[in-house]
Amino acid sequence: MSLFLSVTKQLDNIFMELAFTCRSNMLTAIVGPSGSGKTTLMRMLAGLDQPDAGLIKLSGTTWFSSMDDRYLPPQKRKVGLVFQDYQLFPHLTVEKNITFAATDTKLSSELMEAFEIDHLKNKKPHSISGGERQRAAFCQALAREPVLLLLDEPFSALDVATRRKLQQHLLQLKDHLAIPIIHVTHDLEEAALLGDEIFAIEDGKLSPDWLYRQQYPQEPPTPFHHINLQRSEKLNAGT
Amino acid sequence: MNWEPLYLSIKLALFTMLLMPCIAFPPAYFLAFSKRRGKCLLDAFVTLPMVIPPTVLGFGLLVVMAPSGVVGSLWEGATGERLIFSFSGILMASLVFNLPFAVQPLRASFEKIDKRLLDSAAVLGLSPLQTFYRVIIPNCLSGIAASAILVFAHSLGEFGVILMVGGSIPGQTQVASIAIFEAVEALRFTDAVYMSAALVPVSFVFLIFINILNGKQHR
Repeated sequence: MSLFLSVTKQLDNIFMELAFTCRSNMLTAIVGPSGSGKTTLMRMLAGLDQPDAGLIKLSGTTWFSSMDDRYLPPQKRKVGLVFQDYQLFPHLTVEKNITFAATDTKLSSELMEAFEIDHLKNKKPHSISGGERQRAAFCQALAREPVLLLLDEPFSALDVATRRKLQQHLLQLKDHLAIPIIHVTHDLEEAALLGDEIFAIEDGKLSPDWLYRQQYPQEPPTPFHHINLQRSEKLNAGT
Repeated sequence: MNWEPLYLSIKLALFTMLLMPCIAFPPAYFLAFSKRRGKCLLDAFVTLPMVIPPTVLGFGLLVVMAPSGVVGSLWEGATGERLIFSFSGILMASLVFNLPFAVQPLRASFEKIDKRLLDSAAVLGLSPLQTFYRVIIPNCLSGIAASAILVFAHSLGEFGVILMVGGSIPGQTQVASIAIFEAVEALRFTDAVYMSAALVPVSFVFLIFINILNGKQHR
């Protein structure tokens, strides 16, 4: 199962033009400055926004094609999406949030156990901590048995200790999920730790030298700067 | 002392309040979430009963609800009964008159809901209708309660529109406000005082009831 995307979209201040492929069992980290179009990219993948033109395909299924005038609404994409915050429905308990769109209630229970939140199942989201809420949000997204997992800065509102714990959780989870995972983050260390592949986006386009410029702000890019950084060793080598 | 007008007022207010969601939810939803151009036209149309004089609105309704009018003839064809000067007639007029008082708080409440919850619901597979009753309604109960309070209180005190459409038929269309007016005109001040004084505790008890419901939602 792999995701292919090649789209363009005119935003207020930038023109987005992106093309890449994400494979199953791999986590693609997307980094870049604020306002570069990362969240819009996630919304286009989820079906919440439409590109102006292009193609989005997951394996054999076309989600968007401007050529065929095809647009698959978010309800039919079966995507798992975890936002930074405000994801859980405030009127429902943690358990009801997780089983909200679950395909299998047994899986929901297993996820709550795996994420160590089964003791919170009868609590409302406002009465648990931020880290617990995000764990519940992961369970909610995974309980739907998604074909693509989108993570939009899921750890950025958490304290360092909770963030580290959840990052480890995600690392373990990644090996068990036979789907592509796309993770948007501002944190380069996090991208290096979790990402099998890292793409940098700047002004709506893939920017092969953006990561290099973050690592060596004073130096001009080398002839090899355009090579995508693979996993943490490459990032850490520069720090 | 005849308490029938008071009973009729409460009955009218309750029926208006209970039926109002059917006609107020669709425009409130459209005004809160739609990005279409016709939005301002619908907004003006829905708000119109709030700004035009009740007698003018009542006269307009009388024309369309009369046996020769569009609504009146359709009603008579379907039920075999005349719409004007009947309880059904004043209920219909009350629904029209109260529409803006229901739509405005509902709209404000829908607009306040975090749009990310709606995105989340869509990604989790909910259709817009399912999102409405599984996410929007449960998270807007205070707005719905506010809308119900306004509609009930406003219906209790209706006068001009009801008089135009329903006249003053005891037991059928003679609501409390009309009975008070007629009592004053006939110099029956004691009846007017009792009827007026009775309206206050009815409204008060209703407000307490709604506030309790509202408080339960916030806990």
